[in-house]
Amino acid sequence: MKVIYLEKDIIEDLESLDSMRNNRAFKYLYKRHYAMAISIIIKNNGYEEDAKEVFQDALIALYENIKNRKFRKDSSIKTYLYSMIRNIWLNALKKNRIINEGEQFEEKYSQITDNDSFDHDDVKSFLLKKLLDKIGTNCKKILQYYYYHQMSMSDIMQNMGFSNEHSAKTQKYKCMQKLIAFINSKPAIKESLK
Amino acid sequence: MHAKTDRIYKQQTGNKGITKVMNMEKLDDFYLIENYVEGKLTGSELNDFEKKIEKYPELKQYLADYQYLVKEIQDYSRQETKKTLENIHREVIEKKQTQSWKKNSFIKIAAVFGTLIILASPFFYQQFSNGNKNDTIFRENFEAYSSFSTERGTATTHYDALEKSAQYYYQKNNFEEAVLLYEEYFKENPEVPKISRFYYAVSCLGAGHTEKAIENMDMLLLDPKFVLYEQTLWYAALAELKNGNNKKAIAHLETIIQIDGVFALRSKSLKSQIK
Repeated sequence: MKVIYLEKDIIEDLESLDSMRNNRAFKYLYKRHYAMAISIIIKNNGYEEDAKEVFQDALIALYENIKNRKFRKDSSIKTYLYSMIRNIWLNALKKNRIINEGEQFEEKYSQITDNDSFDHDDVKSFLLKKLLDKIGTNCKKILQYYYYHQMSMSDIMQNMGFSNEHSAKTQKYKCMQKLIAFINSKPAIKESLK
Repeated sequence: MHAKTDRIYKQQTGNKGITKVMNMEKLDDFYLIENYVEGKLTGSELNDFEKKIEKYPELKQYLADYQYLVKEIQDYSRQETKKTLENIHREVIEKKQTQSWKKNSFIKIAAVFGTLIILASPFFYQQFSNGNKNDTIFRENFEAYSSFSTERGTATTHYDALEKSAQYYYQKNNFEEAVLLYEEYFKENPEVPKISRFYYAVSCLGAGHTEKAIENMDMLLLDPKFVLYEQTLWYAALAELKNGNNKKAIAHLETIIQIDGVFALRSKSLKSQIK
């Protein structure tokens, strides 16, 4: 029997910290709506290859909005993704001054980011990983849970096995202090990350 | 423990002055900074804090570092999510290709077995031939009707965009997607235009949602003045045929023959095929 994957289940899976549940939701959304991204982009002077970047950005926006509790649970995911894909794509076009009446579309979204900044992103990503590795797995986790996944201290306490909320808060504080101390002791890294 | 955290802070600022302003040994002071960044301070608490920021450059620097690192943590986490999506992209596309290959192989094997069964069992074949006949007639006669422009364009409103997307999938014969988009469009625009309902009903028929197709076509057939009335009768006949209701299908076809419009000849031919 086919199991129905309801919108509320998708939202719960994306809210979860379980990467398997996140992946299940992302895979479903990919299968269900990727064709829509291609269609929107083709209809707006783009190419099929541009869809990947735009669709992934839209999924990230959805994911973060669900985490931030900005996504209204009565909204339709499909409608949300439709608007996001369209906005991201049209903004990318506008940003590059490609939308001009009669002007031929020449650049692809993937080419919008120039090579220099792409390389810089790679370096930055590497340095960030090194930096967060320095403070230890648990510190990295607690900071990501709080600042990216927008989890409450009570949820962090339960998820990471702290005995009480105060311990979790203290640990988060210490991790942030470690990170600040580390970055200030390495001005070269700080500069590279900018 | 407190002395240690304080020491770390002094190391990074290289200045002891800050402890006079904000006692970094205390979690409460750290949360004051955090609450300020998160926009949770109000009234006099906010004013006092902002005055301190202006007065003490060390505090200002600490705040800047804090905000900068929060942004970096978020960027880093976003990149991790992006990597997950990259993997899913590869997996979904590769899986789709593999599934397509498997499906083709399965169809080939199934075709061989199917042929053997049919050849070996004439009785079995006869039992189901009526249903198959209707399906064959349906497939031979079903073709998506289209009168809308194929030009690319930018939609003016959100629901206009939804309808345009639905039309796009309809024209690509991707009826399942068209059905979903029309349904979203109807949610946004409850005053469903009859023409949109017509294309939705044809999409339902193409996607195999025959009951839904019949239900919507029957609604449209209540108005004989509807601009696509004859077309609706044609697709309603096909839907009834697919549903195994030959009598209703023939009744619709006879109405078309009476109207003697563009679908009359086709209808005569289809009627003779059903009989």
